[in-house]
Amino acid sequence: METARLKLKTCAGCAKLMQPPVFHCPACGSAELRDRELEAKGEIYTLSTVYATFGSWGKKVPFTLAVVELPETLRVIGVVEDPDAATRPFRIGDRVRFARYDEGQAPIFARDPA
Amino acid sequence: MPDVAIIGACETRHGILNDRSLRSLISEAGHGAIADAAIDRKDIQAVYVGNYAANEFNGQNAVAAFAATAVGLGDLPSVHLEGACASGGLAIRDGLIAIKAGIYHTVLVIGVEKMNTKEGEALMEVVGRGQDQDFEGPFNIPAVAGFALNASRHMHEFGTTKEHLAAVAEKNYYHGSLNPYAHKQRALAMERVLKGNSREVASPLGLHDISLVTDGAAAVVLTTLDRAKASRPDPVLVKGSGLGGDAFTTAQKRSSVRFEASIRAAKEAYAMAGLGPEDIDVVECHDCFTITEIINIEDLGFVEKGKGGPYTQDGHTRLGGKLPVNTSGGLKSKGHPVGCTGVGQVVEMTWQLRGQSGKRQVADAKRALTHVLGGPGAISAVHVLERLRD
Repeated sequence: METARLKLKTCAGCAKLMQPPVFHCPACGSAELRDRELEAKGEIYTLSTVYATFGSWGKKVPFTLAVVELPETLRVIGVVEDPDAATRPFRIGDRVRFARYDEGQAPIFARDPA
Repeated sequence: MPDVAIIGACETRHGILNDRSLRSLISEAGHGAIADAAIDRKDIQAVYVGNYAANEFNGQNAVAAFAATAVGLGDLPSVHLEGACASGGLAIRDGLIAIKAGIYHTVLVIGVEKMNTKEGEALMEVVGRGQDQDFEGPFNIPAVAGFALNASRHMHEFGTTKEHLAAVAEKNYYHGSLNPYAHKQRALAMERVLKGNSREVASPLGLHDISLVTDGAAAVVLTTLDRAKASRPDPVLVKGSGLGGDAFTTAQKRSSVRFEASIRAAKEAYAMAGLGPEDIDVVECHDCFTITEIINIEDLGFVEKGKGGPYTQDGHTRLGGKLPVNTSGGLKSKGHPVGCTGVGQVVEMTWQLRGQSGKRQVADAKRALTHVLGGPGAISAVHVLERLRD
């Protein structure tokens, strides 16, 4: 299976890494942003299991929302999924890797077995 | 720059006010503030309005002109400020700036929201728009989940507990039980708060960690100190004002255990006032969720970072404690009509400083602080108020 990669942008001027959508580098103002794809393994910085919401995700509750801290000094908000989550809930500090985008282009992470 | 004072303050009863229109709420608060100021309405030169989503909740745009007209001031310039839950604080701030700049000498500031026109998912969706739709939008993140991310991290770093969170709710319900304007005027025992919270909405937050969906309006009249002294013996001086920002999207913030926007706003407001947190006698701060009040009292400098939970549990922020916080009942019990909240806080603190707060009066309150927080901790307005009567 091909490794899933998180689509990011990097600034040609100052090398800052950013999550799109972004059109100018917030650090230096440069408009020269390049695509960069990352295997994206990191740790859960914080999380919450959501039991009620609206829209398409309202039909998928409960789901666990997390801010994932990547070693490339970038935090990304995503949903963490694990078929065993009911018996082994996610905790802060757990290792996760980018798994896929959902139909609304929201990043989904899975437990990183490594 | 002239000093600016509050000479009129009024608030409507808060609650689910299905029999009241947007116009009637604005009219009551606006006319009430003018009557309280005991000035000729012709002295008012501009109207500032804090409102979050009248376009969604009430089908009304250009809400500032609508509000000015509703209080019989339709020929005046009017401005609408929207910064999610901070909207009312922004309106106070911009009215103040206009007077300090010498553009006007007297303005009316109104905050209003009539939001019980929607419920369930439709309501959550409109409230959820106060977050970054490019980043938080794809997950349909409800506001409660955004702040639950703060709660999880605060618990992780400092050992804050669900009992600490519940202590905020229990205290604010108690304060609300003493406030005839509050949406919910019934104290709730700690065991019942904890029981209600056992059903989580967005972990670790449960039912009683969430503020109320409330209709209401509030208004104040601001004027130069010279004019204020001619108007009444007990004007309240707006001694400091601060506005702070932080990244609008949650993942781009440096920390989930503090709101940098609040820290920046407080720094500016304290500097302008020439005062510090130790000088404050009573506070209204933004308890949109219980965790928010815990983080706020830390960010505003009243207690060391990480100690907000125990400080609350020990009763220091309760009426009769060292520093009563949210004497109105706060967003938890007085309620949270989003655009009204920042103005309502200033009304509550004006009453405290005038000694008009009845059963919830803080004895001899001399200086007060108000604080609102908009979006996922992205916008904060802080005001420091001081009584001038002896």
